[in-house]
Order: sequence, then C-alpha cells, then structure tokens
Amino acid sequence: MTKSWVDGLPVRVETVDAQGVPSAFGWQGQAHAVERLLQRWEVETDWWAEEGPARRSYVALITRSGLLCVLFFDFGTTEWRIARVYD
Amino acid sequence: MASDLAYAELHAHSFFSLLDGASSPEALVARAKALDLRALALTDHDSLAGAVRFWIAAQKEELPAIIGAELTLDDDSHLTLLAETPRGYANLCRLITRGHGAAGTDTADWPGKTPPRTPWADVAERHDGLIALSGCARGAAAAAVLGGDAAAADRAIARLGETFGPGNVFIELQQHDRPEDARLAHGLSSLAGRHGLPLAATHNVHYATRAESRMRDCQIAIRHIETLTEARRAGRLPLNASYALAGPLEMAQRFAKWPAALANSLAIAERCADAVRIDFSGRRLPAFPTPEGRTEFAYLYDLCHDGLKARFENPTREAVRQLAHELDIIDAAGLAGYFLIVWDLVRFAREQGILCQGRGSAANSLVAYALGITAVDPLRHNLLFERFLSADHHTIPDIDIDFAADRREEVIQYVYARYGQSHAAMVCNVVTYHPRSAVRDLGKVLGFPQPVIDRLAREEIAEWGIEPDAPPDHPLRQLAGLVGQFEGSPRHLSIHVGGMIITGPPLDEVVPLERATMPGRVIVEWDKDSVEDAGLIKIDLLSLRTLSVVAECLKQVADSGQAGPPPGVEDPEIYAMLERADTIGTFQVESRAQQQMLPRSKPRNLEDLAVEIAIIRPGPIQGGAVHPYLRRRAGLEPVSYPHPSLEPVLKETLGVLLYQEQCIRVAMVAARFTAGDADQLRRAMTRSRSREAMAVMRERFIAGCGNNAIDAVTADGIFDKLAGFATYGFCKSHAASFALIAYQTLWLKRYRPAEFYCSLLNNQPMGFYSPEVLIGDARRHGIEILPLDINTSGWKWMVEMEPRTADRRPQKVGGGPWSAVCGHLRPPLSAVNGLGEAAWERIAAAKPFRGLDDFCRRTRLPRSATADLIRAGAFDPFDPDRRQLLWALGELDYRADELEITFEPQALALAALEPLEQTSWEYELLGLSPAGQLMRHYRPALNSAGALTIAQVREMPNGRHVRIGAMMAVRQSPPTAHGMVFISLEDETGLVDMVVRPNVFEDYRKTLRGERLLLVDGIIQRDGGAVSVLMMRAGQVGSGV
Repeated sequence: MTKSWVDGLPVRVETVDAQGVPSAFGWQGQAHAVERLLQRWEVETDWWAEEGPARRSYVALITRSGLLCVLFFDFGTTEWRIARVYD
Repeated sequence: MASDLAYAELHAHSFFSLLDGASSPEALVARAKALDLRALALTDHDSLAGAVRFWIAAQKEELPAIIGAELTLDDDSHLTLLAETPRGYANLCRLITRGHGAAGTDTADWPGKTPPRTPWADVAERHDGLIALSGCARGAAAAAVLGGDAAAADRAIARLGETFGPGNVFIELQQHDRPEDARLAHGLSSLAGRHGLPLAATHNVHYATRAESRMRDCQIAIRHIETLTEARRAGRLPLNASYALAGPLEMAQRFAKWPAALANSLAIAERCADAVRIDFSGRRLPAFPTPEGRTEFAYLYDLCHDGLKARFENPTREAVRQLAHELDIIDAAGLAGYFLIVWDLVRFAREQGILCQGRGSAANSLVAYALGITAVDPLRHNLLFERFLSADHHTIPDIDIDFAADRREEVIQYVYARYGQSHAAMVCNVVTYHPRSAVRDLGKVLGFPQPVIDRLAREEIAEWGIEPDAPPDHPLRQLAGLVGQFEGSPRHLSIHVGGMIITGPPLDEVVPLERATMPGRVIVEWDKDSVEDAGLIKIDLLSLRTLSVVAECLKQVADSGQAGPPPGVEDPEIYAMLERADTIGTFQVESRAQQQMLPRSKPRNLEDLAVEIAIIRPGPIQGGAVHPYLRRRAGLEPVSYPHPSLEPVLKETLGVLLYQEQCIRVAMVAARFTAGDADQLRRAMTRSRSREAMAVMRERFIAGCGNNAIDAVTADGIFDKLAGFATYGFCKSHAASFALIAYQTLWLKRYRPAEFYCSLLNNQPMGFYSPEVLIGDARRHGIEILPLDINTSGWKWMVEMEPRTADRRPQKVGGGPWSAVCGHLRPPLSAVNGLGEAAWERIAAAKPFRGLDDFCRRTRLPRSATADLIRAGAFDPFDPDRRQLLWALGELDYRADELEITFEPQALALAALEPLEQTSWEYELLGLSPAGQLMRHYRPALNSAGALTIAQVREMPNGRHVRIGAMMAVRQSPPTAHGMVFISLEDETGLVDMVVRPNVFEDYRKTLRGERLLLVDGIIQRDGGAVSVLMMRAGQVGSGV
C-alpha cells in the first residue's frame, strides 16, 4: 500500500550528486542507495501563510532495493524528508 | 560554453495580460536585454494592449521585438500566435477583436464585456502571416496529452497543421519543474514526430524576475475573488516561481534533451523579429470627401480663407501670414484631411444646435480658429502654434473639443455613421492600481479582516505602524511590499473620457477592439499615449456640463425675449464680480481656492482670467508659483526673470513660469531649440515615462544655452525651473478657451441670473457646490425660491416671472443687489428624493389637481410617495398644514394602482407643524428648503449665544475673534494643503471660508466630520480683500462650543 506523509518524515542524506539529487539515504535504520532518478519538481508556495513559506525540492527515486519513493529537501529546515513510498 | 548559447523568448506575458502578468513591457525588455536574449515576443492573453509600449521599449534597447498574443479559443484552449508579417499583425488584430466579440454585434442586444473567446473558424480564415505555437499546458494538444486523450491530441495537432501549413506550426515545449513536465514533454514530442512538426522551446514567462512571482500569485487570487489559500487549494496557483524570464544557460539546462527545440525558437525569432513596425503614421485617416474632386488641402485652404474673413472683417497682414504659415505646415504634414474631419464634426454640431468649443493646444492655431473649431483668437492672445504642431513633425496634433454634455453622444454617433463602425472607436483608459485600491484587493487575498483593510486603505503605509525590525514575512510588511509592486500596474481597461480615433484602413487591422460595457461602445486596446506613439491621431470629443448649462440658459433667455451676451469680453461689471469673488456657479472660478485668490489677484481682462484658471490648481500651488505671482501682481516684490533674455516670454505672467507655451519659448530663446525640439522637451517633462529623456534634454539644453552666452549655472537653474514646472504646466490656449467659457457664465450670472441658476440646477450634479448652496446664492442675488407646487412644478427647475404675464416677458423685481430684471425659480418634483420619472409621468398626465383626494384618485401613486410630496410642501396650495394633509392621506381609503376610493376625512385638531420641523422635512426630501436657509430658525438662539451672522462676520476687521453658527456647505482637505482642512460655512446671510489647522482638526475631528450644524469660534483673516476665519474651537449648534 502506498504511504504518504504531508510534512514528510526525516531521512538521513549524506551525499548528493552534482544536480543535488541524493545518491543514498537512510530511513528507518536502513541505508538505501539510489538507483535512478525518475522525476524532480520544485514547490514554492504558502509564502503568505502564518506557518511560513513552503519551499521544497522534490525527487522521485527508485532505490537499488526496488523502493519507489519521493523525497524532498525543505529549504526552510534545510532537511531531507520522505513524502511518499509506493508499493 | 555559456557564451555559445543563445535563446529567444517567444512566449511572454506582461501586466497587460490583466491580472495574469506582473511586469511592465519595459521591465520585460530590460530584463531580456540583461539576459542577452536574441529576441523577445510579447504574447499577452487576447490582447495587444501593451504592444506599443513593448515595441518602443525594444527599439530603445535595440532588442529585436516580436508581436504576438496567446489567444483563448472557443473551446477554452490556448494558442500562441506570432506575427511574421504586417499581414499577420493585421490578422492578429482581427482575431483578437473577434475574440472580444467587438465586431458585428448588434447594439440592441449588447452583451457588454465577456471573456474573450476566438472562434476557430476565424483562425482558419485569418492565419496568413502568423506562426502558431501549440500553446502552454492549456493548449488543446497539451491539455489532451495531460488528460490522456491521445485521439484529441492528434486532432488538435492535425487541425493546427492543416490550417497554418508546413513551416508555420511548432509544438511548444515548456519546462517548469512540475511533476507533469516529463510526461507532457514526452507526449508532445511523440505527437510532433507523428505529425512531422518541429518543436519549439518557450518559457511561458509571467514576470521579469522571480521577485515578482508573489505578485502574480496575488493577481490570480484577485481574478478569482478568493484568498491565496483558497486559490492554492483550488489548484490555481503555479506550483513554483519558475515563470521569470530565463537566460540562455538556464534554458539550455532545462531543454538539454531537446536542443532542436531551442534552435527552432531562435529560427522563429529570426523570421519574426522586427517584422512588424507599430507605426501607422503613413496611413492613419480616411480620405475626406471634398466637393468637385478638389484635393483635401485645396478645400481646407478655401475654408480657412473664408473663415478668416468671417472672423476678422479685414484680416491683418499678420493674420494672413500666420494662416499661410500654418497651412504650409499642415500641408507638409499631410494633415489637411484631419482638419477637415474635425471641421466637419464642429459643423455638424453647430447645425444641430449642439454647443461646442475647441480646447487645449488646438486653440493655438489660427486655422482652428478660422474653421470655427476654437473660439480664441491666437494672435490677439499671443499664442504659439508650435505648441500645437511644429514643422519638424515630432508630434501629432491633438484636437480636443468640448460638447454640451447632454448632446455629445449625438456627435459620437455621427462619427460612427460618417466613417463606419469599423473605422472609428473610442480610445481606452488603462485603469491602474493606486495604493488604496491595491491595499483593498491585496488585503482580501492575504486574508486580512475587512475592518483592518478599511483602516489600512485610509492610511498611508508609513502610518501602519510596522516596526523597523519587523521580519520580511510580517503580514503588514508583505502587504506594503506588494502594494509597491502593484502600484501603477493595470487593473482593467475602461473608456477614455472622449478620445476617439478614426482610421483609413479598417481599425481592427490596426489595433484590436474590445466591447465596452456601454451598449454600442467599442474601444481600442490602446490608451492615448499608445495611440499617439503608434502614429495615430486622436480626436477628443469631450463632454462639458457647463456647455449644457450655457445652451439651456441661452435658450431660456431667447424664449423669454431677452438678449443674449453681447460680443466682447471687456465688461467691467464682470471683472468687478470676479474681484468680489461673486463666482458661485460659474465655470472654473467658483472653488473655495479661487474665491480666496480672486480678491487679491483682481483680474482685469481675459488674459488675467486665463492666468487665474491656470494658476489655481494643485500643481502651481505645490510648485510655489501662486505666491510669487500674487506678490508681484500686488507690487509687493519686484518682477524678475531667470535671465534677461526671457523677459519677453515671461512678462505676461510677471516672471512666473506658468504656461506650456512659455516652456517652449524659453527653450527656443535660451537654448536656441527649434520649436519642435522645444516641444519635445516639454513633452519629455510632462510624460511619466521620460526620466531618461529628461537627462538627455538637460545636457542638450545646457549646451544650447552655452552657445547663447548663458553660463552653465544659470542654464542649469533655468532647466530646473522648467523641470519643476513639468508637474503643473498648463496650456495657455486651453486656459484662454476656458476663460472665454468662464466669462460667458459670469455674464449670464450677472445679467440673466434666474435663467442661469435655473439651468445650473437642471444640470446637477456639477461644479463645486450643492443645489442648496446654489439656491442660497440665488436668493442673495434677489431671486425668490418659490415653493414646490404639485400643479405648477415641473420635472425640471423653471423660471417664473412675477407677476406672471401672458407673454412671459420679464418683469422688474426688487430685492436683488442690482435691481435685477429677472424671474424666480420654481423647484421641480424631481427634487423630491425617491420620486421617479414613472411617477412624474402619471402626475404630468393627470395635472391639474383639485386637491389631495383628486390627486390620489387620478395618479394612484404609492402612499409613501404621496406622503413625501406632502412633507416636501407640494400640496401646500391646498392646505398649508402638512400634518393635517398627512392625516387626511391616512384617512383616504386608497391603495396604489387600484380603482375607486372614498374620501371622508375626519376633522381632527392637530398641532401645527413647527417651522423648524417643516424645514427639516424639506431638507430631508429636497436637500434644501425653498422658504429659506435652515439657520434662520436658530437665529434667536445663536444671537443669545453671541454668534454673528456670516454677513456680519464678513465685515469684521482682521484679527477679530468671532463666533459663528452655520451649516457646513463644503469640507475639503486637498492633498496639497499639508493636512489643512477648509470648510465653507453657510447661513441665511451668506458663505464664509473657514481654515482649520491640522492640530485643531484632530481636536475636533468628531464634530467636524459628524456634524453639519456647527457653532465655531475663530479669528478673522483678511488678505487683500479675501476673508476667511481661522477656526479655534468647534461645537454642535445647540450644545455650545
């Protein structure tokens, strides 16, 4: 079943490539090496909102273990988070 | 390498994509230049409103410009079109016009403004010279790809290919960091491959830089009348801020997979760049039909010489020479037809009895005077033809004509009939955001509560109380920043007050047309500046209520067998009126500021009157021109000139720079500019987008002065004076034209007062004062205001002679200051608040009435309307006791719009109405009381309180402390007055101006804003015959100060 988290869950990214895409990340105690970047997109909105602007850089990835997921880098918190995991 | 990269942007929206583009055309051009783009296309939504500004900006920056638009088709899809040839441009104009439904719509079934939708059938018919790009994500093909409808995508592309033909259709690819980008690009690329069509890269630009992305978010929310949060939830806001102009490197990165698309964009730009010149100066007017096949110029020549003889019995050599000079220039400029067209309009108006008079710079022309277009003799008034038209043709002349307001439409319809709907249209007015309107719209989309928005809109941003250390995302700071961005950007297009263009070629091939809300009214998408910059000629057909007043007054005067104004403008009585500021109701000189100035400036002739009109305006007041002029006129300071050589130019205004003609002459005399260059300088100074031009001009001006032995410091000083003057310069010929009309109204007020006030009251609202103040002024000039009378009162104000005679010849009546020969005024039933014309028609059809029951039986008006007529005094001739009449109305078994009533009034002893109560009813219903001004009822109490009448106050010496009880007639706080508030007070004896300092106003703000009947203490201020009261304290009448 696909799981998604609106505000994402923290993931640990130690290395990114020249385009800023993670080459590997750690989540739920497991290391995931990125096999392929499927898609990327940018979100910049809610600049008027009380809770502050949302500026995120999203990537949809497949890991070597076959995990299909969406991560995003939050420019506000400067953190990588996982937003979605597909079956 | 980046330096090898190149890009041309083919899809960009300016803020003329109303509420869907954040940057001006000039800002887009500047940014494109900074990014080193090869070319830039402006493709606003269904509009070329920004095309002229864009084209001119691009010419200045030497950036190749492409004219295009993004059409919305009848299936709601988008299509980007670029003009490759002048034919393509004309077709684009036609298609946009069709989209707005401005062609071929029946006036009787006028839908007004509707969202633009261009029928595909029209695109199929008019695609010559146009290159089609398949559009953004809302393009038919892209939308089908995104919707997964491959067949629809194929159909859309096939339709494009078949219509535009090989080489003229490109599949548009865009990359905006959206999740769907890859899928869309893949789908479109496949389509292109299947149909053998090339790709083209564009960036769907909506702002010049990222800094404006928030502005566009707000525009989208404003357009949908929702908050930003609602707009985001509805998916209307772009996902990110990637819609700024992008440079070659960024585009190379975005389109790394599609290098051919980038190359194709450059190739398209090569084909279209500068293919269209927006300059129609060579083919702008229709040919004027002349008799016997004569040339336009020959016909104009004859008309002018005939006119000159009619104007001057024996034209002087100077007049003949000037006429020849002007005709030479007109001929060389190819403008004979233009003058004939305007002459023909004026001829038509005169034939129809429509009062009209040219205003503005045209009155500098002897040709215009000889043709009867203008009324001012330019030779006698030392006017300057070059302000209107110069030999070097830098500018296009602009003829403005005022028509009586109530009949201007007849002239506009004549233009449509004479030249055809497809060759004539009104110029548009671009309504732009001001801080207040921006706060209102932005406050809503940002989610501020309405009371907060109301408060913020009333205040300056500096008064909002934003702490200096407030963070950038503080809501008020965000709002303030956005207000700054929005200020000056277009909100919508409206109709210009009177500008009309008439073209030889079909107008919709020159500029797109749009429907206005008003039935039958079509506007062009360009405002007056763009029309002028495109080389088109505008004729301003303006409406002037004063001319309606004068026309009505002259008719009444003629109908009553009296003579109209004699020729000449030298009557000393008129200048005596001006000196005592007896100007209420007259044209241009009635305002409070004028009334304060007149006793000091004491105009003695029409030239003085023209100065008066030109100088009492916010600009000269702010520019500090008024006091030097007054002091010099009073001999309190010597007349001086910035340089001795300028004395002949500035002598008429005592060394004060006031007129635009003087500005031109200063540049001609001091810096030896040609007349055309001097006028260019004047225009550079007065048009808002000309700061850079000003800097260039300053350099040239100082150099020119140097050649004329004027040192650089003096030259710089003169230029500063000219630059300062730019904000308030007034066209002398315009002032002189208005002075003539002012003189006419003064004459009518002086010698035909009853007819004058009557016409004035019939043309309200207009001018500075309310009807109540006008009738007070009439009373003080010996005119009685007769009571409302259901049988005598009409639907308009009427003059009645007293005693009435069979032939309505005027009778001498006493009581006026001049033993005037005049009649009295009868108020109309239309003055009764809420009584509509339908009610009047019933009354008029049933008149006369024998009593209240007869009235009710035969009109069957609603009870409330009848009660209002009773309370306003319309039934006083039957029974002056209005309370008794109201009782009787209640007794009547009577229902509106029903038959049969019985009337058996029961006698009842009711207390008579108090006089004050009766007057109050009249004020409530009529806004005035025919029997007299309200304050008369308070006089005994005011006497006891030590208050003087205004007539007494006006006689008091300077510095005397006075108390006044009066009604507030006008309250003003002009932006130029630095917080000072001016209040005109009126009682039963007259009017006086009260000056309230800002701190005093703050102390009494509630009273001064909330009360109309004021008891004030103040100090008399006398200045050269002008009287005012400096307010110290204020209270409400009845409650003390």
